[in-house]
Amino acid sequence: MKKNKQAAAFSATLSSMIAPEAVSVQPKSVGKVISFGDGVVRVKGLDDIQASELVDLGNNQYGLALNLEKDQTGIVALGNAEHLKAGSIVRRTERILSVGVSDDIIGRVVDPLGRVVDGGPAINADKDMLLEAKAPGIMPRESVKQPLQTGIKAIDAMIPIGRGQRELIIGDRSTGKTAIALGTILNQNDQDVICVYVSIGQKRSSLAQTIEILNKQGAMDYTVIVAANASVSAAEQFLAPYAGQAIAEYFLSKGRDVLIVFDDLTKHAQAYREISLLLRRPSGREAYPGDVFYLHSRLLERAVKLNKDNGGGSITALPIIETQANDVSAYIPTNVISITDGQIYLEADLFNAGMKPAINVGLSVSRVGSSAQIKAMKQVAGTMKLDLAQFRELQAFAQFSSDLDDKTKAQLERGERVNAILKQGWDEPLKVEEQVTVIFAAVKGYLDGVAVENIGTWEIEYLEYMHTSHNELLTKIAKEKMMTEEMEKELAEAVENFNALHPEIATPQEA
Amino acid sequence: MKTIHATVTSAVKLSDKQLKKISETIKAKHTGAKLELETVVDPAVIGGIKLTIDAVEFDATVRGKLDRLHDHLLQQF
Repeated sequence: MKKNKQAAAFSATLSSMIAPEAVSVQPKSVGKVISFGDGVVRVKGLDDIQASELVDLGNNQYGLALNLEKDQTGIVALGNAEHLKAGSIVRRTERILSVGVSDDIIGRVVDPLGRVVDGGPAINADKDMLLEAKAPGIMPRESVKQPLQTGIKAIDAMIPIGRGQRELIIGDRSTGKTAIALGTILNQNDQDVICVYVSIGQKRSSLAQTIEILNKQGAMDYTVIVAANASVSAAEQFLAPYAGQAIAEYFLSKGRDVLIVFDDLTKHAQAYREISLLLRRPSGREAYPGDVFYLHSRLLERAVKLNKDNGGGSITALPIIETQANDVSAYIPTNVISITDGQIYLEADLFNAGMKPAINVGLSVSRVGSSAQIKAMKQVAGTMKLDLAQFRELQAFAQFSSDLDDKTKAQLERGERVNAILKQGWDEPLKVEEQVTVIFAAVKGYLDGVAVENIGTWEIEYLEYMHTSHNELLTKIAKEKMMTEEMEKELAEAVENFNALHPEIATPQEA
Repeated sequence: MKTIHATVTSAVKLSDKQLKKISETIKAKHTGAKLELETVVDPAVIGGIKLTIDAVEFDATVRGKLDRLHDHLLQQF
């Protein structure tokens, strides 16, 4: 008797869960597979399908409708659709590509369709964000005015990045491109910025390493990773940056500041080239299709700084491009250089010479970031870029002559020290007030008595001294974001005191 | 004259009377068009019929209903 009752209750719950319209017969648009190969499905039928709609390929596999023609549709398979054969039936889903996002996504690793790949529980989607959303228009935007601190002295002082800017990181393989992006993510730990790291076509081993670093440093508490490894289909690699952008836009809609890193767009362009060639779209320069510029411009146009009325959030994009043998005039590098608001140019020669980060200051620019730089930094580092350029010129010239006048010699010595102070481990980001005090010492000549090879030790000891003895000055710089004359005087005294206390690394100057 | 291509899939072979009824129903919806009717017997559909008219499918088979039920229930967890 009791069993019967339970069964009745069970069937009642079950029937309450089944909406009759969900199982009733509905007309469904279908198509018949003409051919399938290399991940591209050609389908007859599907007359009313929309562009970039998801197609149900059966066996729980999906495809993306990319080519809509009069008598056939070109679909790229997302994942493995090996069960397909000529004559198989595929169906419309009436779903345009989107990812389900909620606050739970922070700290997770997802694939370009928003499915978790880190083994944890699925994400309870709060909102479906379109992969291909239109970039915000002109009126809701505002000019870039708030700095995004990378924690890297060379960048924050000379190539400042603002929130809402797009700054390209470009350089040959293994010149530290990813390191700069990761260092920037690490430095956002107290900046109230959500980070999205999009990995495109990378080895699983490198991504695992990246995740481990971020986990160890506690950066996963505010970071989302979108992963499309080298082993997944070209279609998924092509979608990854748009998925990352969609996730970033979810946080933007909540008025948050977001930093998004695309690592890297060269592989993204190559994945798109693969798809386009397989779909038999006409190819152009370097066999890329005609719309490869639009591919990246529509992505990077979605980086934005919104005004107060629209939530005031921002998306800062750091795309990465890998060059071959320093060739920045190849097709994809020139495209992305022209789209972004500046570039950080890394050079293998500098890297090998021990200059890390290997930033070529002369060729790197930031077109909008200087208006976002804090005043204190502008005060101390204002002429640094020009000085370094002059130093390099002088250095090249000095190679030819042995006897130099004292003034030139002094200039060279100073330049070498300013150069040396820009060296920094990628996982040792500095707060802006720390950077200001260090750069102040270098450009004002307080380092002239320090041997170049001792500068690393000097910096560590000096920062420790500043934190123990002049902490209130540091907080004052961080708070007021500018240097008054008194603060400058106090800072100068602090450096002098420090140098006097440490004669082993700094021989005191006759001022 | 426009030709429409229709496929009827069923678990068992349909009688001529049943097929006539089906083709008449289709013709009534698409007046003035020539109808090419193809029949497929597929025991995997278990029961009922599936009608594919050009690129539109009406799936009233037991298999199709079970699949939809499966997806529908899975969505709720």
